Amino acid sequence: MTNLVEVNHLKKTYGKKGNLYTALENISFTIEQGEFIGIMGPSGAGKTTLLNILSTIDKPTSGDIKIGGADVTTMKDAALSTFRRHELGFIFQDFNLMDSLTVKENILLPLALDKQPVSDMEGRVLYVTKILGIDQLLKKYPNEISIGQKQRVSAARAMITKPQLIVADEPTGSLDSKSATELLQYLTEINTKEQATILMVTHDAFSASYCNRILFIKDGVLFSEIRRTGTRKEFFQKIIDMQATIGGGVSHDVI
Amino acid sequence: MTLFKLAYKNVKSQFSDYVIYFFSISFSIMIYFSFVSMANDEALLAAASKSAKLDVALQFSGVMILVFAVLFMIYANNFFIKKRKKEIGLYNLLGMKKLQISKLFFMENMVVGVVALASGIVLGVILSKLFMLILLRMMQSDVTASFSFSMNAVFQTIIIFVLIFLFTSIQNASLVYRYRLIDLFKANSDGNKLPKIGFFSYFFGILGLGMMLFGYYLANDFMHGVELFHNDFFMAAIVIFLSTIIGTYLFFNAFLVVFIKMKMKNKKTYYRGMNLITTSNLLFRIKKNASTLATIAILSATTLSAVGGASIVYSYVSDQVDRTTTYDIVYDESNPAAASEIAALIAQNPDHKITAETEISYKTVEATTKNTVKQGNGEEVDDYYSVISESDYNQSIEKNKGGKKVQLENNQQTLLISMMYSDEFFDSPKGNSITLKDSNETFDIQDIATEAPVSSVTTYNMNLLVVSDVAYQKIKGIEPEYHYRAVNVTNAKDMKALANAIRKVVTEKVSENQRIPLQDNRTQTTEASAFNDATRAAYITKYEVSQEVFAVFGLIMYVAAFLGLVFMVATGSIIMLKQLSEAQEEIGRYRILKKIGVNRKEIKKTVYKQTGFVFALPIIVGITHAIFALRLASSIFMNPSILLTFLACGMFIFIYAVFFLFTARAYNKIVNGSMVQS
Repeated sequence: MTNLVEVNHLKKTYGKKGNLYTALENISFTIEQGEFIGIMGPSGAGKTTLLNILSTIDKPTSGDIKIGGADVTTMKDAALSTFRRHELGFIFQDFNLMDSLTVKENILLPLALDKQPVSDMEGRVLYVTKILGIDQLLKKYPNEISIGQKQRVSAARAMITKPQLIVADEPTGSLDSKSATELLQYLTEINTKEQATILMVTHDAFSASYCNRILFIKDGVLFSEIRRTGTRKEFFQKIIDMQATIGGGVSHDVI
Repeated sequence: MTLFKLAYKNVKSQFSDYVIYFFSISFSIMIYFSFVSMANDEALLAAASKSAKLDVALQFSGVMILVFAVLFMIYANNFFIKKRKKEIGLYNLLGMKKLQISKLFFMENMVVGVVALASGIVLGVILSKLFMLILLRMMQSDVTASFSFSMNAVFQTIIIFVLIFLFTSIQNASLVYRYRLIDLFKANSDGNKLPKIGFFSYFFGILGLGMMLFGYYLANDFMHGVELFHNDFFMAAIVIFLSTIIGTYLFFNAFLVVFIKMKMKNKKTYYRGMNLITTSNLLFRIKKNASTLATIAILSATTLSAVGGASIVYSYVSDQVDRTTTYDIVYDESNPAAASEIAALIAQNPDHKITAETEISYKTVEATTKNTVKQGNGEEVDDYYSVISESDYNQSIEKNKGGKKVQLENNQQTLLISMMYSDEFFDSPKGNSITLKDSNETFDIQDIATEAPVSSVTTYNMNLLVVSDVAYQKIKGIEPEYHYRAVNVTNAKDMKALANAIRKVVTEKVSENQRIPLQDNRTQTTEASAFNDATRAAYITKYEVSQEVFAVFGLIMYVAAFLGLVFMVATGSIIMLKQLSEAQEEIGRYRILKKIGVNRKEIKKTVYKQTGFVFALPIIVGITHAIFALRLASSIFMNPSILLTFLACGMFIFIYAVFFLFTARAYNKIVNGSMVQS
């Protein structure tokens, strides 16, 4: 397996001298092609900062990130926009759909921005919506569909450009448990069927149990890493234990 | 005093929101103050007292400004409060009583108001003199503006605006009581209903466009339009107004929505780059703001028409002065004593040198010709005419600035001079005949002119006939022939002293009202003699005519321009506030776009495009309305020069464009900021 993402000695600080706050300190890891990787950690651990930097919408103070061989920390603003458009797909906690666009328009937006031929776009939309089971909703507007469906539309938009990496920020955070399970199953399907590499930030152990591997961060440093070996249930138990070790997460042990 | 401090801090920290509001209010106060100052300026009033009711006009304009200001402030305040719903909720949660919150908002508004009032008055004091100079210039008055600072005006402005601020502050405070806590924390998700288009949208869309075009059609050929309404002038005007106004509302509410939806059907362009975002956002905004946009279109059409109309009238009047009074001084020579005294006055005056001089003789006849007014039935009309000879006419034209001389083909031909004639309302009388009542002699009208040879008031009637010298000799008038001398002098614009001296002579030697009645020696009463109580002026100076006319029309022009200015600024501010409040709601959307790979340049382009459309649509419709209205006005006023109209309207459109640029810039700044959510 080749490394899709390489993160080397990443550091991020906020504020000025004298009042310096270190959000991330010396973070290094790699993500392999086709992995479904989770990032967990208690509130304030630096999950969002890490995600923002990986998604190229924030810059690190030092260290570098290579995605598909390209060093994104040195790219200029305009180049980054194009890079995000082609190589990254985003799924957000609150869906971030444009409510002035129909489901179909929302999904093909990244392709339209790239000025691709209409027939290609429509073919691709049909393909991804079939996978995600939302092909009947194309003409609806976001406020006419359920939240579970909204998140699947968001997932469809994320994968429409066949990005190298799909970044999901708490994708189940706004969903009820049934919709969340559905979404996670779909993500797993995208991961296995489409060979899509997915990076998911979550603080929910159940969601995390769908991943192949999980990185734990605490107070800005990489705390540990666990890999799924057995069943999902066993993995879930391992995650819970790790959270208890870190503290601050949800624990079934009464302290 | 902590509440006051909080209010002060709030205003300071939200300065960027308040700045537009503050600017518009200060501007209104400044204009109001300068109008009131002028209304209180004794020297100015005394100078203009002759003809124009200057103080009344200025006070009336002041009231109009107040009405604008109050409406604008109420609108803006509603906007601010809505924007700060969450803040009210937060204060409430923190345990502030509603009374305290109301007090806070009350004080904030008063802080802004007092600062605006102070700066408005200071600016007003500085600029009043300039405004007064503009007014005097428009009135073509030679009064030297000795602007005196009026404490009275300051007090009046302060009292009135403090009252208005109190009123809007109370209104602000009362808004706080109207919200329930839960409402205050709800997101602004209202109004995102999607425009569905059905049969009715198409129907009303087409109807709206049709009504607007129908209004244009009627206005474009108004005299023909009037015919459609059985010559009911008033009815035709009302139909034009109503169909244009209703058409405008339907145009924005239905037609544009349908039009954009149709454009979306073309996937090749719609699914291309940012078009997807720009077009769909535009559809949303138009749907959401259709009525506001239509209102702005109509109001800006009204402003442009009023200002443009005033400048058309101003140009018309200034053309008319040139047309009716062609020489600087014209005086009657039938009273030799008075005439020689006037001649001496002119000759001995060191400030004015004679540059041209001519003499003209008139005979008065009664004659009948066909009425050529367009909607008339072409009946024969009986009236007085003044007759002059071809050589007198040509000489007066040649000695003056030189116009079109006449070459009559034979002794039976005549040149008709009618200052009321315009192609719009009259059929050309060329080829018609005119019959003298007493001699039964008939002339053929060879041509028509609209400019008096020396002056229009030196004859009994506005109608003149130019006949060949031979024919002139033969004509016997209904009273003795009379003569005028016409003189052009240097520095005619400042001949106040000379004009007054001439007036004095005429008043003493000729008649109290400086007019000479017609001596109709005939015994029987005719149609014309029964209808006309004819007199002619014993003298006329162009200086006095200009003074009188421009005192009135300069004032009208001035008032229209300044009211329009206040109005345009208020309109621009309202669109700006609305757009910027929408920008706040759109921050999230644009953040998504940036995340999924739209770069800043593309976002900037979209923002400018969208804001551009929102600003441009109403003004384009407004301008189109105004063009048709002004074309009609222009044709009614005999197509005067339209340079002034272009300048005036151009200035307003420029102001509006400046508002657009500021709004687009601010909008871009709001939505095109950092991607990382703070």
